[in-house]
Amino acid sequence: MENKEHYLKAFLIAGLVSGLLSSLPIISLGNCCCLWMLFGGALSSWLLSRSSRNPVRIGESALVGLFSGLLAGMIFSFAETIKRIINPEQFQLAIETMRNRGVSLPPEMEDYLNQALNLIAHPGTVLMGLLFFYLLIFGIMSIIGAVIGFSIFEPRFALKRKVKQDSYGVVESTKPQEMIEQGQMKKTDLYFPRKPKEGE
Amino acid sequence: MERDARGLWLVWFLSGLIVFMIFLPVISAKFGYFWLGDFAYLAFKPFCHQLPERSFDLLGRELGVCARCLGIYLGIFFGLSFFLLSKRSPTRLILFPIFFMISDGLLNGLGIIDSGNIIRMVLGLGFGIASGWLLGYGIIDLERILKVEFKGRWRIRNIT
Repeated sequence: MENKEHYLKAFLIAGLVSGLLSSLPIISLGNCCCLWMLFGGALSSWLLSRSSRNPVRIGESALVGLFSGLLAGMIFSFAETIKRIINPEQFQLAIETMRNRGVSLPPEMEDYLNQALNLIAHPGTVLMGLLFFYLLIFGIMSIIGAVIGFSIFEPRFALKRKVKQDSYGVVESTKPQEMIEQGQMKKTDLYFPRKPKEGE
Repeated sequence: MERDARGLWLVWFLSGLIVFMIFLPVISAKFGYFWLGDFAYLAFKPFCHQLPERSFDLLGRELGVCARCLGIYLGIFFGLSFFLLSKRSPTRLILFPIFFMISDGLLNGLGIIDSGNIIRMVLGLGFGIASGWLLGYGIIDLERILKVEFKGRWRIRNIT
């Protein structure tokens, strides 16, 4: 965990973006085949690789992807719940269909079955079950996005890091601060390293 | 590389659970529990268009997701299984199936081509296997990082 200080920023930004894109009415259609979840994971990996000054490991990308997925899943679940409260018809219809499709059992079992179905098909129970399912899907898909993003972005950023180290010498922990004070680099370069221009 | 990591088995189990959920409408219909199948349709609704013409049906009942998503989820499960069984680490060649599926999805979305359900599923399967393999690699490394980070911290102290 050499790049621990960059985890928070990477997963917060990626999780928020992914969660919002998955929740907005028309844009959320892009979540078909899990597009926004994979995008969120890849974004978190890109942010982490871009910000880090040390080499990033695939496990670190996976961790950031997992957290961004869980955050996006929570935002999505919250938005879905709000949507169900505002527009309950479709959800109620699905639950009524579930209720009406009870199995045909002997009459003495009917009462027990109806009780069980009422409990299972209660909107709260359904939403709780869906929340677990959403978090599961978002978590796994975001990790996948993050590891794919790692495979694509990390080699490039590793090369950039090497070029930077070759031109500035070995970057020690106090060196960037001195360079900021001397005006050789901006403070934002610590988080978003830029390519040095010619003559710098 | 150690392959007997508990986290990897957990993810493998969870991906198997998702695959089971996809086949739940068919399985539940076989035993007469149709409402369970409806729950599966409801659960997958935000993540898949579930168009009947783009989905496979089994025993007269459609699966929970479309052909491409079926390929992706099955592929992730198979990819993780291969990763658990084999000793090979993924190479960057593994990214090819991912690009194939993304380009097929884009071309279909723009209406330039119309690949059939079988091709969609096969491309999704390739994407899933590649992703599952990479996922396994990521989970193993993540578990190793966490083991080093939290070594001994969660051990319960003997206070007696």
